[in-house]
Amino acid sequence: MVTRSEPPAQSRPPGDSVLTDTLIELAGTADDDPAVVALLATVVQLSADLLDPVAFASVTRQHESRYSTVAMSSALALAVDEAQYADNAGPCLDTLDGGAPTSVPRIDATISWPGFRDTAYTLGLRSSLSVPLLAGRGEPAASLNLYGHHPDTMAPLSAAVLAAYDDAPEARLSPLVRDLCPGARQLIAGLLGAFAVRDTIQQAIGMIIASRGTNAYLAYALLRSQAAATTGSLLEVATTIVAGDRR
Amino acid sequence: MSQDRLDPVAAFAELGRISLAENDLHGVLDRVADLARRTVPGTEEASVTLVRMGTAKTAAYTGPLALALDEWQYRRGTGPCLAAAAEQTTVSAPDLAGDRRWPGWAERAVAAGVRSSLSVGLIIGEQVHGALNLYGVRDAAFDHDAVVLAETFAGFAAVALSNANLYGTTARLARQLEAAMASRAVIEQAKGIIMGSRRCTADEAFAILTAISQDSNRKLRDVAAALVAEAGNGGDR
Repeated sequence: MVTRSEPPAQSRPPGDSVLTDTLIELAGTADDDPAVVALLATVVQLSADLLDPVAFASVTRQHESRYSTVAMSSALALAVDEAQYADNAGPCLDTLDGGAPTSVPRIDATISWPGFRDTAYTLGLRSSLSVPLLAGRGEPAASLNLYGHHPDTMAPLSAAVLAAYDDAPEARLSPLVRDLCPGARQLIAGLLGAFAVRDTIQQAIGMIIASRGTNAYLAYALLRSQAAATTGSLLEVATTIVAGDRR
Repeated sequence: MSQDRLDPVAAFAELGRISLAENDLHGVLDRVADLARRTVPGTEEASVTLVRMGTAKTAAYTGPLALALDEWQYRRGTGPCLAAAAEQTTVSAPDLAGDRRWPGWAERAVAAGVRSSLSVGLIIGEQVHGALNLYGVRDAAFDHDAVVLAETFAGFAAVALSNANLYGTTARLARQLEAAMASRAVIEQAKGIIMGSRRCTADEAFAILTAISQDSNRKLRDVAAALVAEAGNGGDR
């Protein structure tokens, strides 16, 4: 198992692409790598700090059938998350289960998730967006939960995130992203960058499947062990395999 | 008059318990119409009018009388349901026998045995308006308290309906996105298999995959999954 240590969120150097870079790094990191937790903590803090419409942020992970919040920007976000875990129902659970973003444009009009609605509304939250985050395996490793006070300001962010996951062409995505705050533009760039990392890793898995006659699960395990034996980066190993096969 | 009356508090609670995951918009509308009929005193039959893109239709009704009286209005383009939906207001007709506001309709309603009507406008979404329509068989069937109750009921119903409308749209998008995400990994793996065997780029591999899909008239995801399964089995031979 790789035991690379990541610097804590607070000591990361500030930059104009730090959120983007962190999401891309997460997508190239194996799901069981201890570095994932530190990367998720960084994503949460940066999301709360850089996304203008977002009041609080948190990250939910699933272990077997249990959900838990592994990072949060505020205890208020934790309270909203825990209301969902108590009911075993809510947007962040749907996001992890389905692998697609879940937008709640108006929390007060939600009757599907009463525990979530009542807790969030009591805390002054009016709109939310849960975004699946990719780690190395290519499946949602966590749900990034973004909570806002104002539906009007959350709506453009949600629309852009949904379009990004919908594999929207540049012509449709660009106008949605153009007017977002710089932090939100970083988020979208990070999600798209993570998709590109996922694609490279899956292509490498395909090559291993073909060369070894194995299945996707074992091919990922081989890729994972190769990464552990070298730099620890799945992306680097995958990129080498993909490039090497074309040489 | 119906005997299965419901206490308003119980009706509002039931509106709040409607499961959107198990009901589409029409399922929610059916529940709203049924609860309204059982809750508002004086109601013989109830219906819900939806107006989309200028076209009105009855999306839910508790009996054929309500449907017939609604549809007459849509054909003629006039009547209390349409007025309530268009103006987002409450239109009460306590004495249809003497009401001259909608020529032809009141006479038809009276001939069918309806003496009073009450329509409350609903805002369901940006593109969708509607009205909750209540029909009574007595003159002045809907007193002041009944009107207030119907308006309160309509307020609850509008939230449930707008949420169902939103939920339907969001759920469709979520299913679409989930399917796209699930397909993506296997498509990339298939591209990798093609890249390895043909020594080509990812874009070229995708073009080959797309061509196979089109030639065989199979979905891209299915072609990719078959390719991955076939390559995986190759090692066992």
